[in-house]
Order: sequence, then C-alpha cells, then structure tokens
Amino acid sequence: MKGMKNHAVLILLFLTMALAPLEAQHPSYQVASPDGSLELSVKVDERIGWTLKQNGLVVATSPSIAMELEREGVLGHQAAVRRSW
Amino acid sequence: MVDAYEGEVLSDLYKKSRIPEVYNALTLEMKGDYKLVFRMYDAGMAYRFETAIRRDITVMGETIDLDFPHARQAWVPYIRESIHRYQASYESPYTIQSFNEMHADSLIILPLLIENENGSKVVITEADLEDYPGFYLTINEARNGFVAEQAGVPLAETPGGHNNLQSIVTEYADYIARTKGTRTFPWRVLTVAQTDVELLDNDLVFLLASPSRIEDTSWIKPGKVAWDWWNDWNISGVDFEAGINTETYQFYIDFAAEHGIEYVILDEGWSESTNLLNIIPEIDLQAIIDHGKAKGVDIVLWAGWAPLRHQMDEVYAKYSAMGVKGYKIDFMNRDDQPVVNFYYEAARKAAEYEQFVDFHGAYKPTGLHRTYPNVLTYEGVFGLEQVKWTTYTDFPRYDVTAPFIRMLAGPMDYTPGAMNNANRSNWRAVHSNPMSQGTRCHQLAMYVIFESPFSMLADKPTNYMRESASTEFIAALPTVFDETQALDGQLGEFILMARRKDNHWYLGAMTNWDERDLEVDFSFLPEGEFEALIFRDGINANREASDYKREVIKVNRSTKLPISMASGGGWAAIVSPE
Repeated sequence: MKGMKNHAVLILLFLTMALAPLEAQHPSYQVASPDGSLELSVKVDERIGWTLKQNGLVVATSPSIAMELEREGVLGHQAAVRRSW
Repeated sequence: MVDAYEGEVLSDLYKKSRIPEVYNALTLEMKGDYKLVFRMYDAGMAYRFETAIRRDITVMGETIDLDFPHARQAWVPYIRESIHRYQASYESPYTIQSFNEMHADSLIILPLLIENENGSKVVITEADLEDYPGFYLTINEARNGFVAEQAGVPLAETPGGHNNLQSIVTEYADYIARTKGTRTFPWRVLTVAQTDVELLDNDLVFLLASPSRIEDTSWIKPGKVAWDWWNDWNISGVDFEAGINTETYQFYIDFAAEHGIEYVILDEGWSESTNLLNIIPEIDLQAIIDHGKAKGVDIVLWAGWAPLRHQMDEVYAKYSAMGVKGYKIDFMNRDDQPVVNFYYEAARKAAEYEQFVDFHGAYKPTGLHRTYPNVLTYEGVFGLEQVKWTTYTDFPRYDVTAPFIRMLAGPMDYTPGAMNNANRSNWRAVHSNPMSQGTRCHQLAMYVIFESPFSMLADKPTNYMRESASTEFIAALPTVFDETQALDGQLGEFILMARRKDNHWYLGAMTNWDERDLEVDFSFLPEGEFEALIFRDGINANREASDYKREVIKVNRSTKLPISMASGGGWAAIVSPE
C-alpha cells in the first residue's frame, strides 16, 4: 500500500512538472456575465481569491474564500482543483 | 469551459410574474470533497461552497473577505439597539461614510452598499440561507474592505427582552453550525450596478433561493391588512371603549370590509404574552373570525417567536381550525443557526395548515419567500413604527434609500399609510397618535414602491374613514404585480417606479426633504388611450403635509407629464385603459 502511494505521488509530481511549462503555476479561471459587462477571475493557489471587473474596472476583489471545518480542516487553504467546468 | 444557463421562473406572489434567469456558471471541484460554484448574472455575481462529506460536519467559521479598491464611500446600516453583539432588530438607517470613517467595532447588517469612484454601486448580501447562520460585516484592518462575522451556535438561552418573550443567548459555542456534510451553503451575493435605477429592479436573491417547496400555492392570498398597534386602537365616535376587545376588532373588520381590505390583524395583546394558547377574556376570537367571515375579511394573529417555537403545532392546529389565515411572527432578532432553522420550520408547518407568515423582528430576506411562498413579507426595515419614538428626522431620505439596498433582498413590511402627515418643522414623535415625516402623497406612493405582498394600513379606521379618497386609492392598489419598471431614481434622492397588474399600471414617486420636479414618460404603456387617477402634493403641502390634489387625466404612450413634489413629497397614479 505504502509503495503504491509513493508511486502515485511520483506520477503526480511528474505530471505536474510536465504540465508546468504549459500552464501557469497558479491556475486562474475566468467567467463573464452573459452580456460580458462583468468578468470574474478566480485564482487558486495557497488561497482561493477572485477579482471582479465591470467594463474592465476592478469593482471588488477577495483575497480568500474559505470555510473551516472542525475535523476536515480548512476548505479553501492549500487548495487544488480536481476539475472545473 | 463555462456553463451557460437560460431559464425563467414564474410566480404570482412577486413584483413580476415572469422572472428571466440567465447566467454563466463556473464550478471548481476541489480536492477534499468540496466545490466552489460561481455564477455571473448581468446584474451581479454570487458564489457558494458545496460539500460532499459523508458524515455530519461542524463549521468553525467562514472567511468572507471583500475588498473594494476603488470605493468612494458606503451606505452603512450599523447594528443598533442590540441586546448583545448578535441580537438586534435589523432596523437601521444608513450612515454614509468613507472607509476611513467607519466604526471598526460596530457590526454592519446586510445588505450593505458600496459606491465606487466612478459612481457604480455594489450591494453585498446573501441568499438561500438555510441551516446556517447569517453573516455580518465589519471594516477590515487595512480599511479597504470588509470581513464577515457570524454568530456561534447558542448553547444557553434565557427568556428576556420585550415582555419577556424574546430568547436571550447567554452562551455561544466556538462553532457556527453543525450540519449535514453533503449540502450547498448560502450564496454570497454582490449586485453590481452602473446606474442606481438598476438596483430598484433586481431579482438575484429570489433567483438564487431554493425553488418552492409548496406544490399548490393557490391558497396563498396576498393582500392588505387593517392594523391596530401603530394607531394604538385609537378609534373614536363609537359607543364602546376602544382597545384590545371584541367590539374594537369588529369595528376594524367593518372598516376593512367597506374598503375591500382583505385582512385584519390582532397584534400583540390578544393572548397572554408567553402563552399563545391563552386568549385574554376581552377577546372572543371565534366571534371576531366569524364576523370577518360574514363580511369577507380574514383574521391574522401576532405571535412572539419564542412562545411560538414551543407551541407551534398546538397554535397552528388550534387557530387554523378556527379560521385564522396567518401570523405576524415577531422579535426573533437573531440570525444564528437555530433561529434560521426556526424560520424554515415556522413557514413549512404553517403551509401544512394553509396559513401564511410575516416575519417581524427579522433579519434581511434571503429568498425564503421563494422557497416557501407562504412567507409573504419580512420586517428588517427602519419602518413607520419608528415615528412613534425616534429622534431620526430624515425619514424621507431613508424612504428613497432603502428601496435601492434593503428591498433588493426582498419584500419589506414597512407598514405605510399614515394619514397624519407632517413637514420637517412640524414633525414630532408621538407614541399614541403618530404622524409621518413628509406628505400624504409620499405615504400613498409607498404602496407602489415598497414591495410587500402582505401590506399594512398603519393608521386607524376613523382616520381612513375621514380620508376616504386616500383610503379608496390605497385599497385599489395590488400588493403583487405582473411587471415592474424602475423608471428613474437616484440613491437617497428620489424614486419613480411603475408596476403593472393585468392591464392596469400603478405609478409611484417619492423625494427626500428636497422639493423636486420630474417628468413621467408614459412610453411604457401599450398603444391606446388610458385614464390616469393621480394623487399629487397639494400646492400647500410644504406648509400642511397632508395637502393633496386628486385628479383624473387622459394619457397615452406619448404623454410626458411634468410632476412637482413638495419637501418630503410624493406622487402616485393608477393608469387604466379607457
């Protein structure tokens, strides 16, 4: 079991390194309002933060979105996206 | 990469009957069995957590950190008259301050409005608040934004407060919620508007709320209600002693019946304060209900929330069997997790008995009126009751501010309808025989501008009988609409709204203490000729605020009508096809 886990970590490390040149170190995700006037950019790294623009001007930002659970830890810290849509 | 959604929600208990819903969504599925979902509407953004954890979870806290790098100032409803930090009535006028001027130690209730340097506005609130506490904001240390704060779960409570019928928390846990591990969490909502007027017709909170859990809503009847408490039961010209007694309520019923007012409410006093099953001897409730039934008027009862929490099943069963149609539930004054759950339970169980509720002493609406459409309205507003005792003298400004901020969250039980009206220098707080700040027409316009499917007539029947033209006008206004158009407005300055029900249009305008001229452009009308019944400030309304002029004119879609409002003035019209 322990060996398998190590293999998985190695594979993951390899994949991350392989992808690194292709993708930014800290991935960011974009979504806009249907009329395009509002644009949101979500950044995921140590923290999950976002920036909201209206017609190109920043109207609000958030350095961190998080929820602390007693046993499961802090959702939103050391965050990693599994998949997005 | 993003989800595009296009749909429509239908409602016959809202400010419009068809509510289009168009947004793009971004979902991030994270390691650790949770997701973050973002939705972008043309009118704003929202995000929420969704968890998929098998066992129950304990939430210690949530980080909501919002910065506004280009903010000029904010309209801040600080919590006031709190019993302690998380126990207050959510009735606050707005303090306009730059971020540097804000009070760091004061909690801010929602919604909160921020104005950017370019004049655009952001309004912060939340939607779909269920099984979780509401959030407050405070200015952050850098003074460039806000951080959220939420009440812990109460561990110990004791009766106290108003007539001992509130429940005062004496000890809080260090966690804010214990809840299911697989669930969605409330939406954090930022409405963004380029122009103020967009804020007057915003559907985000309604759209983000969970859909209706009541299948058949045909029994839910919105309407107006003759109210007793504001006017202190002060009727005159009758042969019985006025007060909390059967004769007085039969008189209110006769008045309501004569004007087609759907409901009469028995406010606090009809039962023992802390025992809603013990009716006072002066009240023959069945006789009152039967008198109403014979005249087509239904009865609504006031209920303190803490007694109701303990007696809910017995109260709902007993009074629904007697014919009571709904409850005004008061003095929750908290939004910790168990109190939020109380709102859901009170609404869900009332629906089982085909009864509706009006939440007074309530936190801001978060969309429960969509999830349980028998929730007709909420207080959470600095309403007309304040003129009985307040030292606040800028009500007309509040009246043209709250619709841009508080009302964006949902209906507000402001309780308009004062027939004694006062200008700025004449106004005095009088508890038992109160007067409003601003003109008669300012009051009439509230019935168009303020959303409330259940809407009070605050004044006494004898005043309404004396002022029968105003009363007939109020009685003719619907409380739910098919269409809403915000025609013009400026935060804190003035509002001009049009609403349609069937083929009639209802118009209202209000101004702050500044006199104001506007032009009403009737191009929203379809082709054809219309008759407009208009109430406008009388030429002497600045001296005598109850002065008004009633007139009927012809209008069509090319009419552009100049109107003049007095200080604290208003204007209202019913436009009907010829």
